[in-house]
Amino acid sequence: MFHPELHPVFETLAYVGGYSVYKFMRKRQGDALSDERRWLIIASTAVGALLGSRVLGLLEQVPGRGFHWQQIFVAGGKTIVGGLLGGWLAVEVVKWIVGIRSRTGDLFAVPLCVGIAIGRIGCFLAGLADDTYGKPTALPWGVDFGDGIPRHPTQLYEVVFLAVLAFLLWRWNSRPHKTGIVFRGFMAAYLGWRLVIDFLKPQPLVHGLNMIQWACVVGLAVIAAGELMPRKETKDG
Amino acid sequence: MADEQKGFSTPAKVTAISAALFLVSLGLCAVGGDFMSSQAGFLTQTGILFFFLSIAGFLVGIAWLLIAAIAGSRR
Repeated sequence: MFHPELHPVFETLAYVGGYSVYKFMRKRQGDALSDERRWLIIASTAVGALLGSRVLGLLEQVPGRGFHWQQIFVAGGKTIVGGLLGGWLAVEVVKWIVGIRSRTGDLFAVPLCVGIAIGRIGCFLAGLADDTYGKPTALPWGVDFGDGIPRHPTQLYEVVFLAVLAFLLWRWNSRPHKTGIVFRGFMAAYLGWRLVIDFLKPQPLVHGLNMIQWACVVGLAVIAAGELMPRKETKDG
Repeated sequence: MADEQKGFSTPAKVTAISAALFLVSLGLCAVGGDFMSSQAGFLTQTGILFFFLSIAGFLVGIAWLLIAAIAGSRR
């Protein structure tokens, strides 16, 4: 049942699926940004996500295996949380450079839910080769990933969570709302979810949390600080 | 200001696709590294191909973006 080679297939489907939903949503609800500016935002998101996902993916392995410079060149070791935070940071930097002052993330909230959910199916089907399975459990829905031990199918828990979140964000996005609040809602919900669900994963801990959970704490603190600080909104073309 | 970003669309697309390709290449090579069967050999080779394509895409995309930015600032 578990085939690690399915992981890159679902990863590719995740990018294609997420992008298709984004295209559909942009056509349906319009966009305050021009095509040029929107593509600059997407490119900076992609590059930032690549760097963030890789950096946190390597940091995640440090408590268990230590750090060796060669690991940078070893394949694998990517994380969604690192990708989200890296992409977000890169977008803010590029927006500052090119002078975009408005919030731009609402269009990405539902597509990200769809993309991550598709990717998580690949994580589940990869079995033990992917480090996203849960701790052993006696619950009736525990899944044996191939080592004879029933474990929490944390990847499937996340698919269900993302389906509900996508539905709620879709409805929120369809109604009048403050610009940017849907994306920040997505980030807060997903980082909060990972902060909780990662307690069910057998990852090495540093001061009670794994490295991904610490990244979630930082991301949630930034979101909270952003909500407390007033920001002047402008329209960009 | 928006005029300064004319011509950014295509190189930004190239850069974004290269980033996605790079991430997929890491996954393909990781799977290939774990399973040294003949099928995994194909996955690794595809991963390496994607890796070099993505690096080439990055170089082209970023150079193109810089040229578009310089052209935009002179307009």
